[in-house]
Amino acid sequence: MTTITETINGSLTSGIDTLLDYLSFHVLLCLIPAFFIAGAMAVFIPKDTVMKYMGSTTPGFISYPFAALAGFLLAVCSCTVLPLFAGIWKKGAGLGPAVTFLFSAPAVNLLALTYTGSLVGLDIAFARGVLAILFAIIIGVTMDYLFPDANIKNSQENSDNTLDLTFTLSIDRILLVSAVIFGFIIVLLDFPIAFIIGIICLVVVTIRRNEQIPALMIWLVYLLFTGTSQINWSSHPTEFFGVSISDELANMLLKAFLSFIVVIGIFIHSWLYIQQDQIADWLQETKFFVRSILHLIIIGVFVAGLAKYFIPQELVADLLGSNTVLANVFGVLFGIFMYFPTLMEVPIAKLFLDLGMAKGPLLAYLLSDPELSIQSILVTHKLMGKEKNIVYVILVGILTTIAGLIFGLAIGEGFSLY
Amino acid sequence: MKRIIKVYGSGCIKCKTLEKRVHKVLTELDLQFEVKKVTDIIEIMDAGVSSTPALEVDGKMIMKGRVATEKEIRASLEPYLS
Repeated sequence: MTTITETINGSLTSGIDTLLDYLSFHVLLCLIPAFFIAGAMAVFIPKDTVMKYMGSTTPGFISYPFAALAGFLLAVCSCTVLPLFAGIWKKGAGLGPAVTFLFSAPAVNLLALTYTGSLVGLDIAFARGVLAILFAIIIGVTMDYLFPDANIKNSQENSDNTLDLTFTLSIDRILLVSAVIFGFIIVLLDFPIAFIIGIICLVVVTIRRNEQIPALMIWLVYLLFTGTSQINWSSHPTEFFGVSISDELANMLLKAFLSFIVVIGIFIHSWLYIQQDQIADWLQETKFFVRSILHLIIIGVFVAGLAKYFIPQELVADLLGSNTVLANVFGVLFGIFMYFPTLMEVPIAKLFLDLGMAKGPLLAYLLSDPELSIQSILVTHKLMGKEKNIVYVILVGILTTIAGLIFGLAIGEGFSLY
Repeated sequence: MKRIIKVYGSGCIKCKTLEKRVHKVLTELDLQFEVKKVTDIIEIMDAGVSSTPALEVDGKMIMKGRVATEKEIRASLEPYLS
């Protein structure tokens, strides 16, 4: 009897500890902005404009990257992905770009990446994003090559689909792009001056009144930049209003302060340029995201913490501890056969990371799980038919394994067969 | 024969909210409409919906891609108030 009590006690403690660890100030600084950004993307990014770049007359070297990018920009809600997939295939650029979109959407959607970054690590999140886009394009091109007659070019429907590819350079656009570059510098190199220059760029664009929506999006993205930055300016305990605080806390307060400045910028920009009803839509979309996803995140982290108590570390380290082909294949198979609801793959990945899984196989799992859940396989089967579906599943399986191996190799985990 | 309202959506929280709102407005206006929930993705596509949720009242597509507000639902049912 004591053993059962111990087990319950131990596992519950493990679950709660993991949850409290995660819900730290640091993570909230990342996750809350992500919800608002997702809401803004759902309201402000015009679907038609993006779909224009995937019309039937668009050349491949544009439609494929855009399909992968569309996965990032448009697929913030899972209910958007499937109708869009069908639209791109039947009324747009064809099967290849549609498949690219289908693959990239669950892998690079903003909430998944932010969640991965804050829970598992920025390097894995970054790799997940980049490799997902790359392999999405590869898979799309391969599918198009294997099924060349799947494209129904309906010229009548798309006769007015003339694509204007001219990109006009303007001061505002240059400033916005610079702001993004400086944002990355803040995160990767931690130069305080980068933050100041970035904010100045954004303020200038706001004052100039042009590019209002893109500017709003970049302002919002800056919240993510400040939230994920590894600010380390305080290296010893300091004094704050007479109270002595640790340098860890000081750094966190600094990050909060920078984020606060960005929030002021967002408020002012929105107050100046965004209509009342648009703001209402934005807040409603954000609320929808929180309502549908937050409880999944909390439960997921808790359950993974619970499971950590039961899974023997030696087993994981033995089988999956190094970047072997076997480990990567196992990661992918686990992703296919274990059904978890949306975003649940992230706390499970963190669990395995803690138990000693190598990062290569971990990435393979993270890439394959959202693609190949039983639910999505059933739907793609209905949409694409048995033959294409089987080929798609096999392609995803092979390529995610390779992606994991490449990542593991790139970060120095070595490479072997088993 | 009752007129039909169609709510297009594959089951996420937005579609459920739209359905709830439609029922609420129907009760408030005391109108007799049949409410059909279309969850099959092929049917949704065939109706020309590229982003769910979508709302169709008596054969006319009222809203695509976002959850219609109660005001908008009421406005679409206005012509049916006898």
